[in-house]
Amino acid sequence: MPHIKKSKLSALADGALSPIESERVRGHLDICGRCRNQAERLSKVAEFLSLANTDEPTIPPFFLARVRQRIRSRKKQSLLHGRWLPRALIPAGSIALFLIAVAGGGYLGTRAFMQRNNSATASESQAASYLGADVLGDYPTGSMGDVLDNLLSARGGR
Amino acid sequence: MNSAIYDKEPDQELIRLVAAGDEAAFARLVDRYQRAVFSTIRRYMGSSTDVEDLAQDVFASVWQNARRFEGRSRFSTWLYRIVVNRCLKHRRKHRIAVESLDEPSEEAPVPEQLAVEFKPRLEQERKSRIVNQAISELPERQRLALILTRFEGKSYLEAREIMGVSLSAIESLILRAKENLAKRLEPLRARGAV
Repeated sequence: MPHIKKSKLSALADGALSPIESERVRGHLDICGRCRNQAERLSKVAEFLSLANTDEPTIPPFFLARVRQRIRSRKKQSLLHGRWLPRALIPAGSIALFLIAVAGGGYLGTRAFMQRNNSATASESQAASYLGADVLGDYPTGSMGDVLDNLLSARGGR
Repeated sequence: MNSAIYDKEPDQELIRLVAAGDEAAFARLVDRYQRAVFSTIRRYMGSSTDVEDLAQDVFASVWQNARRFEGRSRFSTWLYRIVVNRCLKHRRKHRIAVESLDEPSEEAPVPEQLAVEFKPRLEQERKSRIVNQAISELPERQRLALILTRFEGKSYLEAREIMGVSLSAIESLILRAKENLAKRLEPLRARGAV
């Protein structure tokens, strides 16, 4: 017959086994000297434990008031140094920076494009008036542009 | 309402009211459990710890986390779990060392007449101190399992829930605690010290 585990013998001494299991273990102890010795040794520990201090603790006066005080101070702390603050600030800050970068980049890009367009149109107009040409049309007959154009096409023809 | 009516209110109902911000219900819960909380902390942490400070911390956590209590376990189990977690956190933070049985702390000398008059009581207190010291020297989980089942009247099943371990683990922890205590205290008994 297998012996009873020591943890079960200990639980029996504490009244922690079910009635059926207690019955089974007790039945075994009646016939097994080795398990009975172990059970006796464990039950002696209960004698030591009965010597331990079992005084009721003294509850200090105004304990509840001090608990409430602590709750209030925790609330204040969590408002000042709450965990939600850094958690919310990091993504919000990142989004704000991204939007500022996009808006700023767009503005600067548009401005640079406009400036370049304006200066290109002005220089084209200047050159056209010097050559006596309409920017969008052919050179008028006898103008510097017409002469230059004729010379270039004559050379190309050779 | 008088206190007899308070006592009939189930914990689950009180904690539900606490979750809704009912301060009177909170006061009733504190009143109902403050002795158990003080007693567990004192046994687990030893007398050198500021027991009241930890107990305040425990009940402040109950107030703050009442909404998280889902009612799947008993309120007392949930409360003890908070007590245990706070004690462990405190111990880790302050790295509390236990005094050794071999180095008894110094005591003020007792006048002779008083010593005779109170000898039985002093003797009892001395033995009690030795046993408490031996309990405080047990490894943490063994000590906790022993305190819950032996001194706080919790069943093995409740202790299992509080500590978050299996039933066989609780049985094993308690067995090892008892064996360690026997190993520590039996030689002292042989010398007549206990």
